[in-house]
Amino acid sequence: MATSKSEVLQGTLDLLVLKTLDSMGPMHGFGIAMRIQQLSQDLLQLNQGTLYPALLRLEQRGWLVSKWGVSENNRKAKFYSLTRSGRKQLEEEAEDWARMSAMINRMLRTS
Amino acid sequence: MREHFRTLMHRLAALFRRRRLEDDLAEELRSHLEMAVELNLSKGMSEEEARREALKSFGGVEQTKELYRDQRGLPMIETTLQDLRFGLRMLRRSPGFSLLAILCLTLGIGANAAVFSWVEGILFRPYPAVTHQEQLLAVTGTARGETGPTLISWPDLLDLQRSCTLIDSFIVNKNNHGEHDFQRGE
Repeated sequence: MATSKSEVLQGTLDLLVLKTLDSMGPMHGFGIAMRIQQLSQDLLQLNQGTLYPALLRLEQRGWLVSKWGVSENNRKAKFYSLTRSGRKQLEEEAEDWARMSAMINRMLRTS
Repeated sequence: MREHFRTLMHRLAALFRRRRLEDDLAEELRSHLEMAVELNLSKGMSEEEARREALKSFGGVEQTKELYRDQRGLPMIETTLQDLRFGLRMLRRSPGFSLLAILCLTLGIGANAAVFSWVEGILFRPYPAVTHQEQLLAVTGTARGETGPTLISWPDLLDLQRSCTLIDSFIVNKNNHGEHDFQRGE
């Protein structure tokens, strides 16, 4: 095997979910899972089930709201969408992430 | 901080809608798996293969539900309630034994309480009307030629009461062995 799949980093799943909903609008859990896997070009090892406790956690904090609806192929599904405070949270977390990864890159480059 | 409060409220509310939310969860996960199977079928997998693949990438439906439940309600309160319900059920299942156990406990606790209040009344707080129990002292007399404490005569007590400034007041205690004088000092 040339490349191994990496586990989702602790804490980054929330960020990925928020970002997905921000750019795609309301989505159901399966859609979010597909989108994350697609964007990571299948390099990310995501147990799709772990998405649901994460979605609940985000909803409890008031960053998402959920509503039952009907999917593209006429299936009943729960749709999640970002709230205003969720969008603000996404901005903050994205900034944190950028700062952190820039710092780690800097450290890796200096010999 | 606000998020913590919101989470708490959310979890609290979930306690009262357990059945509804449980159905919701089952429905949501079922719909996820069905969509996954459908997608796999459209890729040309066989029915069985599609289902197996869907379950594999989902990664444990029951574990997911367990994790979800821990996140949803207040697990500590829920398990306590469960234990209580279980206990009551066990009591009801063997009423004879339960009755015996309850009787034993009643007797044990009752006897203990009775003995303790008796001991407290007689030994620990013999003069309940005295407010500063910790200042109670026993006064006895001494007499030449006697090794132990001796009694105090009534005139002596009257003298003490009149002229002793160390002690507020005297209580006279009469028992089979004679008289002991108790008093409260300041």
